[in-house]
Amino acid sequence: MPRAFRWWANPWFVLILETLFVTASEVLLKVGASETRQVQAWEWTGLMSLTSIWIWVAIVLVILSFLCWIYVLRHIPLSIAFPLSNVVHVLVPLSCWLFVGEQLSARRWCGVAIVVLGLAVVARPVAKIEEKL
Amino acid sequence: MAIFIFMIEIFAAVVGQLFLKHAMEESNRLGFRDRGVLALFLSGVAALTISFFLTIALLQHFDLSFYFPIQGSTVVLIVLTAVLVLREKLTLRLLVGSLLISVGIGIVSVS
Repeated sequence: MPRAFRWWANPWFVLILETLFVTASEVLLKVGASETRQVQAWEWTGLMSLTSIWIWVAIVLVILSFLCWIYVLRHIPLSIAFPLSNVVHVLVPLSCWLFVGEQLSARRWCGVAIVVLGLAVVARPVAKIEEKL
Repeated sequence: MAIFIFMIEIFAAVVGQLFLKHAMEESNRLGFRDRGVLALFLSGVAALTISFFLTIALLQHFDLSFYFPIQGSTVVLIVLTAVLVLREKLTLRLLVGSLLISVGIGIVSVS
């Protein structure tokens, strides 16, 4: 990291914020998409989902996450930021289980655990770089 | 049909991220008013928008906890294309980590 950031402008903090926005938006997209699945017209375009309020809330969250993401891209290499942003693949199944009532099998939990392991492998050198600053 | 939509969705997601990252790098040097930077940025946004609506279409037919992880294959794709196209540094740790993430995501999606 070439220069010091205030905590809220720290790219790593913004990356965490981005993943939380993405998680919330994905869950709301599922809620909105389920609500509007009976609308048959233009089915494969997904455009009819715009009749659900949850889709609009999700879109706002997507925009916020996008703003966070381009800020992150300005400071962190894509090949590091993108794998780390995949913590959403842990957060989304957990949220689905907690809030949407979707069931997670034992194998799915194993998958989540492997993702966490991969994240740790990618994140460890990053944590070391941060410690030195 | 679903496989076809999945493929377009993933392709748009990868291309969109590459365009965006490249635009942000160039904006450090040239500023946001530069036409090239703006064109790159808007192309990235357009690709991600396509990917976004295709995602909603797919969500209407699959459980989120099933569908979403399939997107995980984009992890390795984006890391490799970032290294090849944007000349970012590839370390063994990064490769192993992103492979683990993709595999983990794959396991979540087939179960």
